[in-house]
Amino acid sequence: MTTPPTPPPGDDPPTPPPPGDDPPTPPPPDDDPPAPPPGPGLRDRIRRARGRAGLLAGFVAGVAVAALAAVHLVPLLDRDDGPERGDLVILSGRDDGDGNQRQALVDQWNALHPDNPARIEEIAADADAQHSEMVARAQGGGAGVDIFNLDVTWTAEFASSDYIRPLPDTQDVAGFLPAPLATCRYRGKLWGLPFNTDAGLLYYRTPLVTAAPANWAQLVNTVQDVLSRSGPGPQPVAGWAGQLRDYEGLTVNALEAIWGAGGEVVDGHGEVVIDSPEAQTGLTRLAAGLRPGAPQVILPDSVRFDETATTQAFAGGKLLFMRNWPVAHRALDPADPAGGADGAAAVGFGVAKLPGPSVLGGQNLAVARQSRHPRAARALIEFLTGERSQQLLFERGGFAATREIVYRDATVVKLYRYAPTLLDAIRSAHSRPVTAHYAQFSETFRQVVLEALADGGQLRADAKPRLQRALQGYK
Amino acid sequence: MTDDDGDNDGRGSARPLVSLLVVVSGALGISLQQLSAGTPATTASWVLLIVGSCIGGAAGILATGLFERLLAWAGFGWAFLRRRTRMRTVVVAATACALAVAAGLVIPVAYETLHRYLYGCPQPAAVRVMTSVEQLAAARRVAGAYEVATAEQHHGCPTADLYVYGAGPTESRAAVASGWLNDALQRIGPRADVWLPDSTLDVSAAVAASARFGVAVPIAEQRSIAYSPIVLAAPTALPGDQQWRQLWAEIGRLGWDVVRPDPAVSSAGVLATAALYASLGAPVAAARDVEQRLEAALDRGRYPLGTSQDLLCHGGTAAVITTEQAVVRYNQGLGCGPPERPLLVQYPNDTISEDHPFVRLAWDGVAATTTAAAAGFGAWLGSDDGRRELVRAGLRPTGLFAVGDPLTEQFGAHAGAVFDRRAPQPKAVEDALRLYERAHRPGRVLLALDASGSMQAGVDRAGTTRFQLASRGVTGALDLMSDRDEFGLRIFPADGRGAGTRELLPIGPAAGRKQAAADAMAAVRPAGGTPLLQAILDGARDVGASPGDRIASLVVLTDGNDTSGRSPSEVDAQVRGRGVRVFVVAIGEASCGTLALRDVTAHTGGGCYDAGLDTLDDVLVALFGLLWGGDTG
Repeated sequence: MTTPPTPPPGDDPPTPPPPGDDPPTPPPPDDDPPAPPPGPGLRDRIRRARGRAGLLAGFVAGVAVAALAAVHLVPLLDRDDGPERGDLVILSGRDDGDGNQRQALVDQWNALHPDNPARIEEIAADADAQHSEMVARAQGGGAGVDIFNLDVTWTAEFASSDYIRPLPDTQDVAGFLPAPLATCRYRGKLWGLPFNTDAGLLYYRTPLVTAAPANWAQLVNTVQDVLSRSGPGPQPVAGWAGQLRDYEGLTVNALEAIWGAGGEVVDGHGEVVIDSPEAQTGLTRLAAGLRPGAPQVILPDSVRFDETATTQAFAGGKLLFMRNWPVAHRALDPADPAGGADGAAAVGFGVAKLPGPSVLGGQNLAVARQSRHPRAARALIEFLTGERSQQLLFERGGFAATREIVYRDATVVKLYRYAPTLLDAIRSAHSRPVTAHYAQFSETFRQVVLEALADGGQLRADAKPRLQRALQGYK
Repeated sequence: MTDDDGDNDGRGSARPLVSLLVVVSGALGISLQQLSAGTPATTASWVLLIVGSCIGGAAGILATGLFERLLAWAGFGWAFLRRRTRMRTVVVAATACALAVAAGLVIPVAYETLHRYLYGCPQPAAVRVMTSVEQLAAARRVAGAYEVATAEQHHGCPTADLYVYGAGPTESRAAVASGWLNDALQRIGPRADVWLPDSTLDVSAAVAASARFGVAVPIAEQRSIAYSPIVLAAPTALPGDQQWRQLWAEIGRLGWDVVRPDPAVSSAGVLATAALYASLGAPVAAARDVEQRLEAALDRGRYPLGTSQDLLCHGGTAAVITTEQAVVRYNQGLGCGPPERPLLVQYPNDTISEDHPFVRLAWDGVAATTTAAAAGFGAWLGSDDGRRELVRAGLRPTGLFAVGDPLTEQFGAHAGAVFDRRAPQPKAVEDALRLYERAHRPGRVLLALDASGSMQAGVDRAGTTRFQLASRGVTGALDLMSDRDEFGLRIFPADGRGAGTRELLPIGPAAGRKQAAADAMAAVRPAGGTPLLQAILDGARDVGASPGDRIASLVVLTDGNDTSGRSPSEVDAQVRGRGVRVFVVAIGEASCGTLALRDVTAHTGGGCYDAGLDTLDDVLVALFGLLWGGDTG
């Protein structure tokens, strides 16, 4: 907090100190006058009481002046907007971009800011492992951590638990895309800046599919149409696959299925509304698609798929459509600047927006509450989320930028043909439910979804109360 | 002020003492109340609460004295009133005490309730728990039960959030022994507050290794929480009350195949080796005989070289030497679905046990809440609820505790089985492992490296390519070769046109060839496609069938999808049954998520391993540790 609290009003001294009294140096509280003597005359007492009242007033006045000075003057004298000297530590998950671009940026920072050399401390790849380590560090006083690189779903938890510091109201946030920036806000305050963002895309086989479907019904129609005849390239065995294994991927895909049907899981007031017919429809679509059929709409194997396995199935020509993050493009496209695939791609493909809103992914950088260099940390965060850094992270690392201007850049658009589509997808993407108990919620949501999928998509009666309790962190 | 001096009677001069008393008793009262914050769960905290409140009340009395004097300065009516009613002191004292007691009871509860109502549960303390790969599923379940138990005591709000992950015995020991350097954080996982290794031997090994690092392992608590004996699991019952030696002879007479988890990756494998050798009084020749029989059974059944679960879930016909817990959980259908053939547990009467220690590690900078939650987990594991949960996980808790399901006949076990529960002697196990190094067969490994164009991609700013990174990892793994091993090296594709394979080093004795391998790899310029399946096919053919006295294996390191156009099922059919174990290490865009790679490798008793750029070295070292016949350290 940089705004000083307003001084306590109304205690200013109306009465001047009595003549001959000492200047209003506040006497130590313990050194107060003795108790009234047993039974002197009334006038005596009044005189003494008046003297004491003067003393008391002087004391109060002194305290008030000192308090005012402490509140207003000391910060003025002490004000120093410059960054504190010292090493900066960013606690982060592994850099899964190309060529370690995050480290490259930190190296640049270090060259420019010799007083604040920064380093990235990386935690094992698993998101739960990162969460556990970051929370344990924050709870333990954040030993040596200045900046947390938080998954967008953790902002609420870290903010409400006071693990991170809010940024001042004067923080410049111009140029950030609204959706990723919104994931940095919690209870009216800004808690970080978006480092990178992400949105799901629909990958489709060309030339088998000529136009991307605008909704699920169209997608199913296309599947039925294409799978019933044979086309060029490997023949797909199923229409669609996403990430339906029991991990965060299932949460994401189930949310998108529900949103795609016009439903919602948690509304703007934090109420669980999964019992709406639309939400039910979304889950029924998944269940129906998974049911064996000819044509097979959803690849049954996808209940064991994570992102990589889905990409592999698509690259192997088994699928007509795939829901995946932009990073899959790397593995599929020989022309991708990251250069993952060898030779000609096995299958031709195009990229479009999902038939409904996507889940918004990404990570935010926030200053650790216990950081001893909060201003320097903030400066580093501003550097890493600045236009130039965002451009480099996207252009060379493949991290979807959080600033719109990067998507307008000619080089980026040339390198990543999906950039305009991705921008579109990010704009219409939705955040996952905001709760300080996200992990608990996500786990419960997956249980609810798995139970529903096992029952033809039919939600159990206790789904709503369970989710409501999970939002509040109840087990 | 001078005229006040005369007022300094006895009471006035006692003021500093009074102030001191106010401070001391106030602080004491408050801290005691704080100690008991929350709904007191035990009698002790109830007592704390009441005593604390009374002391707080006493502070109130003293404060009342002060307050009264303050009033007297402003106006003295109070003093007059007070002198007339001495009873007031008693009443005020009693009321203050009662109020303080009531407030002490109500305020924390009311605050908690209000906070819960407004914001939901308070955040639970994060506890990081490391266990073995073999225990992971069971430990997750037990940890989940503990979270629920804490929630039940706190109005449904869990007070601990346990993240449980599994690590191999070597790497977990190294992480603990090194004081959890950043490297361990990245390669293994979060710095563990609780370590649940399979055996006390792991702890003593870590402590011994830490001396080499000059690190003191901060063990705050260590005790065994449960046991699981090493047993023989077979589809048919054998006569009971026999020693390992007798059982081993009996199995040989019956002509059964028998397999054991690999000691390089499994504590059960280590203890099984120690139990067998000890019972056989094994001289080298006898140990060699044991290993030959185990190796032949592994090859015949195309069993993978791996953990207890790997062997049990493989679904062959051999008997398995492993822990009672692994067998029972397999019979329960946990891990790999309902069992094809339920196994019966045989308890040799001279067996040894995993003793499953609970180890609490007290690192610097860990929150008191985390420490409390970790200690609470330990205490709960010793409680009746915790021990019940351990039984559910297939373990036998320490102390007198009736074991029930699943350690019953229904799942192939005997609840009343008698076995030695002590941790085995470290010396005996070390001796057995030394003997094992000499007794088990050496390796014959052909390594095929992906040299496609994508291996030229940079991995860091220094311009290191994927191929260079892989070469470095391979060179490191070659350090583990013993003189008994054989090794060959090739790349695919043969050239920039993207087909075939090219030999860099023919298969031959390993001695002195590490440098040759490094030089050959340094001269490679990656280009072209990824004829992965072709490389598997050619490699499996060229390495030759397992000559019985060696593990014949093909290791393929790749970063991409096959471009040779071969059909995976055809390759699978041709490679299977050749007696060559095929391993794939997938980096970059390659993934073991593909059925083709999983099937081809699994059907040969090999395996597929996903590696990140930063974990590649570890994966290679772990894999070659399985294949080489040399010291596994």
